[in-house]
Amino acid sequence: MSLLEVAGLTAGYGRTTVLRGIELAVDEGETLFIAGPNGAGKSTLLKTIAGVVRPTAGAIRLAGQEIASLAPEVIARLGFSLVPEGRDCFAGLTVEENLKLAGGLRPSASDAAAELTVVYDLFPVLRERRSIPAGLLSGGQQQMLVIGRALMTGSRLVAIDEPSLGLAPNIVDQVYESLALLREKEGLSLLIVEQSTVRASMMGGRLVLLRNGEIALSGDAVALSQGTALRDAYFGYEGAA
Amino acid sequence: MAGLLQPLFDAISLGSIYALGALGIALIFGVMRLINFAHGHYIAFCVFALLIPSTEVVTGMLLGALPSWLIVLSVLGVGALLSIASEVVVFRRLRNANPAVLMIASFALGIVIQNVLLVSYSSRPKSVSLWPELSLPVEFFGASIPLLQVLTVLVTVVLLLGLVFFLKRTRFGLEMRAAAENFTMARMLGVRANRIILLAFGISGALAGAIALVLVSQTGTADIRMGLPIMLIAFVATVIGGMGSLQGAVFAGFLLGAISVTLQLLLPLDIRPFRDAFLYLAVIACLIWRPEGLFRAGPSSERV
Ligand SMILES: Nc1ncnc2c1ncn2[C@@H]1O[C@H](COP(=O)(O)OP(=O)(O)OP(=O)(O)O)[C@@H](O)[C@H]1O
Ligand SMILES: [Mg+2]
Repeated sequence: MSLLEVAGLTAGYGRTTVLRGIELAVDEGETLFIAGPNGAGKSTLLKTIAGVVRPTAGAIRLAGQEIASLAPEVIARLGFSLVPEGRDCFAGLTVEENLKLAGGLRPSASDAAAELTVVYDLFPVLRERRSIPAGLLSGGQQQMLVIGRALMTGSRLVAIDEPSLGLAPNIVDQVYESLALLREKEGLSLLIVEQSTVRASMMGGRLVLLRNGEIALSGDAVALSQGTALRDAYFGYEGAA
Repeated sequence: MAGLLQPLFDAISLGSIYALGALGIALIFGVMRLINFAHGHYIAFCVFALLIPSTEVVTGMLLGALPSWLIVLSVLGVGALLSIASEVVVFRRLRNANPAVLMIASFALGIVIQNVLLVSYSSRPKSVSLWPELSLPVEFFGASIPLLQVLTVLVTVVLLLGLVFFLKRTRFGLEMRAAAENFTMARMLGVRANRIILLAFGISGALAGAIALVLVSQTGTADIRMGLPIMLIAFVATVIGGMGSLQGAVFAGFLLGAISVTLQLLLPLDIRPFRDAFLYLAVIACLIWRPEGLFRAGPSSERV
């Protein structure tokens, strides 16, 4: 049984359907990349899993439990943590308050305090700036904060929507280094959305290509990046290879 | 010096009422994006809860017959319960409606509350003598200030400090601040939406109860329309404070109190009845100068 299973998922906003019949699964400890062009429905997919967008059909199972129509806070409590596009840290709360807020999902206060140390060790700059409002952090620091915040929740599955958005390349490298570290050391399952497939082929894992709300291609990220099938599917050349 | 002390206390005590009202509105706006126009009617409802329902001019005390400390507790409780009830019965069902629908619903709710009061107590104002000893003056640096004004200021300070402590030092406070800033994100981190909203409504309603107590002991009357002018100014205060910013709401409440009293003092006698026109003129000027309000919630939403 996979940690996350999505079957026949259809969802959208009001009368517009954005996702059609999505099937995917993330195993324990696995990294799944979701790539695709603007407007493919990548963010919508993550928001639907998180319970922010209501699915119109299909099933979403987290550790075997059906979560498709549950409230976001309930889904968070069952162990799914989303770092949304644009980071969404609480700008008016201090860095530490941002982290402590997420620590509320932990079973005990001492558990949350211990995890806070882990997050601070992973991102020392956050410890340094723990008492300033999160809105004053740089973009890269905010990205570290929201990743740290997802760790604080104790979720085994963390989804991140475009972690590289608006960041300088060397900062993106840093962010991915810490993600790789979390995958190795903590055995975290990751669901990462990016527009391009570059990071996926560097980091390794499985890759799903989303186009127009449907899965156009899926397979091993490194293997796919060798041929032209990926590029063709991305740009929508039917029948190529 | 002593001559200035009286207007100073007038300004602070009037500002206190506005600040408490603005805070009640800003708290709900923060978590719900709802401007609750029924808030003024909560105030009137709390005042009438002191009296036994009757359409006669004179009526006995209901909650008002209790010992003082119980009057305070029960009136705050009535405000909190009424506010919570309006969330459960009305607003919760409209959680995903757009802000205009919510606002209209709050108008409708206000009219319902007003008509309940109208049927139970008639539209004629009633006199209520609650704590008449509070109008006695106390000597204060050579000026004599009504005890009630001193108490109003003290109570406001205590309430504000209590609220600051709640927001900054408690788990629920942290969750409420987060929810006010980004409700969806807070929920995705496990913050239980309904609990936080109920809590915000409860606190907001209790603040309406506190205003009711101050007003009724100040004026000695109960009138079904008595919450409206306060609600209006409190709403304006939340707007110029920067919608959703709690500090902004409090600051703007005190500011409007101060401007009111200053205008009262400085305007020539024959223009004085139009004081509020000048007040709103100042408000318009302020909004032209800073359309987003004096404070923004948090150090700004200028996300990177
Ligand atoms: N809140 C919304 N209401 C209505 N339509 C929306 C909303 N959010 C997104 N859409 C539409 O849904 C489609 C998919 O959007 P989505 O944000 O999921 O794409 P994406 O793959 O994340 O794109 P990007 O790479 O630009 O972030 C788009 O056509 C978009 O216009
Ligand atoms: Mg997106």
